Amino acid sequence: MIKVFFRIVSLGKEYKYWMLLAALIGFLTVGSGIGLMMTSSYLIAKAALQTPIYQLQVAIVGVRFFGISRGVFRYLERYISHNVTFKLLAKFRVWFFTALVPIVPSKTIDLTSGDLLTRSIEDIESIEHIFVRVISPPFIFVATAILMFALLNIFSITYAILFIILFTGSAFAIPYLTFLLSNKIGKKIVLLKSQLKEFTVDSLQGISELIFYGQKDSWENEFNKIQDQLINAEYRMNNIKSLHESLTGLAMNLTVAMMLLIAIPDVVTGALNGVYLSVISIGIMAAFESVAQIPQAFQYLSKSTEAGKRLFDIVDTHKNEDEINLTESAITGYNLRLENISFTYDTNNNALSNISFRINEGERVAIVGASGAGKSTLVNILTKLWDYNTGNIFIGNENYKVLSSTNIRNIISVVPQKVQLFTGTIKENLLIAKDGVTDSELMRVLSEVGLDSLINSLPDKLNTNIGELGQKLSGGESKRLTIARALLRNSPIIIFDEATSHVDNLTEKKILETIKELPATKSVIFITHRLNQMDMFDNIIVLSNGRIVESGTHTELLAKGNFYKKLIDSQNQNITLLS
Amino acid sequence: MLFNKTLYSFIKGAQLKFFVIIFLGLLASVTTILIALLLSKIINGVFLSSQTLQDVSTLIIILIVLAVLKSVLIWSQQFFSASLVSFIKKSFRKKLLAQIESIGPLALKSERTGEITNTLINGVDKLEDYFSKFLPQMFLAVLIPILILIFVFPLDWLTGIVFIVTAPIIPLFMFLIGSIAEKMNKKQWQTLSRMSAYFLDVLQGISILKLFNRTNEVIKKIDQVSNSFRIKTLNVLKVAFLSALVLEVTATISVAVIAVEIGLRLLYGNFAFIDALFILVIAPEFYLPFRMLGTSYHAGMEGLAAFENINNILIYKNITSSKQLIKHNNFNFDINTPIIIKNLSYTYPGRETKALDDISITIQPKKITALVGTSGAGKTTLLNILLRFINPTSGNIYFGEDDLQSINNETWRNNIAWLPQNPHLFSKNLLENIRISKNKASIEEVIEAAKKANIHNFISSRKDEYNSAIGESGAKLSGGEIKRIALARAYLRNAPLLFVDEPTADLDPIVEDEIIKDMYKLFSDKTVLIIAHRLNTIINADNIIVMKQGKVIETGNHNELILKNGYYKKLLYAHGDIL
Repeated sequence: MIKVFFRIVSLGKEYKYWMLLAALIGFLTVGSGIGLMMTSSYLIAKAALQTPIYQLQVAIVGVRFFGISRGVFRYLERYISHNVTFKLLAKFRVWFFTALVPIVPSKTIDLTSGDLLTRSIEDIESIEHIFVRVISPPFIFVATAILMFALLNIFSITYAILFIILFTGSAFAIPYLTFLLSNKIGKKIVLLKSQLKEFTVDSLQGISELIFYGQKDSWENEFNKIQDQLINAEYRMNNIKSLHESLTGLAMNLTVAMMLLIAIPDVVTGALNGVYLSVISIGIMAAFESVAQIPQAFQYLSKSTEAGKRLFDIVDTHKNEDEINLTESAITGYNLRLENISFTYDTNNNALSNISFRINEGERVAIVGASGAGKSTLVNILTKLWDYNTGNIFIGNENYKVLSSTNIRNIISVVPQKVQLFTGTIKENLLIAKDGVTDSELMRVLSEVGLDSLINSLPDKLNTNIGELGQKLSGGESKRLTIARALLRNSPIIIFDEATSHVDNLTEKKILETIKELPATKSVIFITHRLNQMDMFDNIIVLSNGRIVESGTHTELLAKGNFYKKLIDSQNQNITLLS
Repeated sequence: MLFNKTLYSFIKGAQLKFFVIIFLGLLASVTTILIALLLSKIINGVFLSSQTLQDVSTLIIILIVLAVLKSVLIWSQQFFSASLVSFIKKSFRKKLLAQIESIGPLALKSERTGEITNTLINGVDKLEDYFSKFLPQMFLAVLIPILILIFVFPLDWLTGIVFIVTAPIIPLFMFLIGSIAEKMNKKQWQTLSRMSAYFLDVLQGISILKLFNRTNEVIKKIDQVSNSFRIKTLNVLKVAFLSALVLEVTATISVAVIAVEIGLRLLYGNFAFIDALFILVIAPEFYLPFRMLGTSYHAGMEGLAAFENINNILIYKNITSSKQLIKHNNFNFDINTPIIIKNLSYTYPGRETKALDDISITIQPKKITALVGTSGAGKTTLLNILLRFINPTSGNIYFGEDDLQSINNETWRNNIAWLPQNPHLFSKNLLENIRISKNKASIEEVIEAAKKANIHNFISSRKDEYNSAIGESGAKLSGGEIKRIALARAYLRNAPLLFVDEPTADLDPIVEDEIIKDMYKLFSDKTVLIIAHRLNTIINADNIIVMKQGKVIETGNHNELILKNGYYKKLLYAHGDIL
């Protein structure tokens, strides 16, 4: 826990002076409160002794000063600490994103699941509070303790020591007690809450089935079962938490009572001027303000370190890339050559073994095979998202090993299998591919994929928000938008990863037309399990279980009558099945 | 305004608890006043009346007893508020669940499941502080100061007036500044959620951003977006914190004013020290409830914002049950009844174009009817209407003589087996996942259905067989296996009507072929309505309904439609390879 805590803190060390400043002002706020109450009570006690007014001037000024400074300090403290918190939030977000870049797509952690990312975002929001809620309160407390020690020491070291013991005791013993009581329940709450969330997400994703199968009641019952446990745990947690407040109040009153018990005899003997009896008592009361924030600090400490641990677990996943010594080099010639490429997952036995093939500049090559044959792995390797274990890939005359991923990705565009569009306008989404493209150029590419009339029919045209587009954009249409995005880069090699899955036949035909009409200089790697119009490809590579089982043109492969023929047959069989 | 009537109405049923909370809060204040009285009496005695420890020991003991009593009162107050919170959370979630069920799956799909889950779990949690802290504090902020005034006025009317004059300033300013800040805050909430959405978006799209060499730009943008959010937010907070400043300054300055004013009167001997000390001790307590209201103000705001999200779901118009006729309960299903669709139209809420435009067709009993058309032709909409997930905008569907509107949803669905496009598997075991289609099915029946769907062998080969758990959205199963589980559900349901939506859209051909064979066995003697964009699967349907842009273009069997030489033939030729 401590390790995680310091790791989080070190992430934000850039802002340590800001933090220090905020904590300092926080202390001055509490200090002003103490000052106000002590000078006030000094003032009235002195006045009660009919002290001449000129002797009271200092006290009156003090009272006025503290009265104003406290409010001002409080304002400044809140402003600065919020500023720091938001700075940290920005910092943590950048840190997390930067740390994820080399990891994604990961072999070990599935980051495509929205749940994991949503939780990470919550976790980041939870660690951003580490300063205001965890670090600052103890700092203010310690500073206040030192101040009070010094003040009480003026009267007697006994007062100072007694105060420090009781003050520190209540600041740490009470939170510790409740921490012991609530530790288990706290963990249980976290567990139950994520259970309830998972259950809800699962149910909502399957809401059609739930409603169709009339499962509403059993669903609700199950929800209530988990919820009841959660609420029960939260209820007990709340009761423990409220112990804090009540015990801290008690500790304050008892400390005052104790102090009275020790100080009153001193007043009687004359060792302590009676004036200070009220000053001390009231000062102690004011000092306890700094104890109030301590319990919360304990709670947030465990909460934010747990959040931090989850984030570090993700970030510490084995990285795929190590590109320190790679230099950008100009690539000449775009012939792609794979020599004995093998790849093993860490856990999965799905792998590529001994893959060798060649794609000459301007060639159109299809890579076909059933799902799980290794097609997507090949895409990840060709784009250097993953490193291969053995073998070599050459582009032109350069070995992949010496090329940076940036270098490679400047040459290769990908239409990914999963449609991924970003919040923002259509234009913004397209411009991810390439900067400084004019609207007319964008429309030209959109017309290549047959989206121009749709975009033109929208009131805001290219500036239409993707989110607002919602269901207006069908699966096929959003797929075509990602194709347009890839085409826009105008790179010499384009990979289409299952570009025709999830689309109807007309759309499929349109997409294939688009590919056919690409300039002859462009190499195309078309990855698919749908074997339509395969005769348009110069070469077809057939994958099965991570191996190339055969390759050749459509006609050649059909003539061979092997695996490829079987794939084609099964696809066409359907026509005769029903008769 | 922060006091929301609708929200307050949720307290109904727990009003007693709510009033006990306020009452206990008041009692705790009474002990605070008594403690202050005792303290001033003790100090006064020792300081001015030369009393010894022995003289005041009884008073100190009473003080300790009162301190204990106070902490017990505070704890019990929190105890009740914890139980109030439990009650409120449960009743909110219950309402939301009922609403989610009645909105129906289609409306839910347009909202994000993550968002709804968040509202249901975290959103409701955010109401906690509104009800346990903010709302009782609203009452206490009025009652406690009045209570203190009752004690203070007889002692010193001048202080009483200072209190009375300053007290309204605080809520007044809080309201003035608060309402400005609230407006700004609302805007800020939008920015905040947009910023979070952006962050989630780029995290999910890291792979794509890498492929386009855009990660560095995005890192900069995250920083930029977060920082511009920080600056905007701080501008809001600058104003929002002013209310806290006013509160703090008013409170501290009036303590200062009172101290000086009392001090001067003490000086001239026309005031008693004991009363002065009491007033000084109690003065911060007079302002404390306002301050606590201020600190819970944020919680109140958050609660209100969360409530708005909740209310957005609660007020969502129920689209499935908006126009239902009186329900038949003794509806007798006869398999030999045709489904007659007359002049059916449907427009999605917020859209202009009709998704279905004046459709009139008849689905013959015990025949296979295929819906054909490109994406967006209206096939899925029609199926959703038949599944009663949405209600038609106009037109009618008759089951023989009966208007579908007059048949109870559940009764109607009981006669349907449904194979959705993307079947959802729940995070339960395989047995329960299949059994969802027939609640009371025996294990033998489930196994029988699994055998027919050709998934039994796969299930038996797993370690826990039918009790094997399924991960998030069936993560441990392949696409083909998930479809087979759905098929097993349909077999188990064994209903006379079978609705199929785009079977096996992106499986590899061999797997797809096998699944289709197993599915066709289910078709015999059933009224089948099947959607597919793979035309080869429906060529041999008894009747083909060709749709385009919400309209029925052609109907007939394959041969008839080919002879017509119309749109159907054009669609078919798009599938070049086959013909």
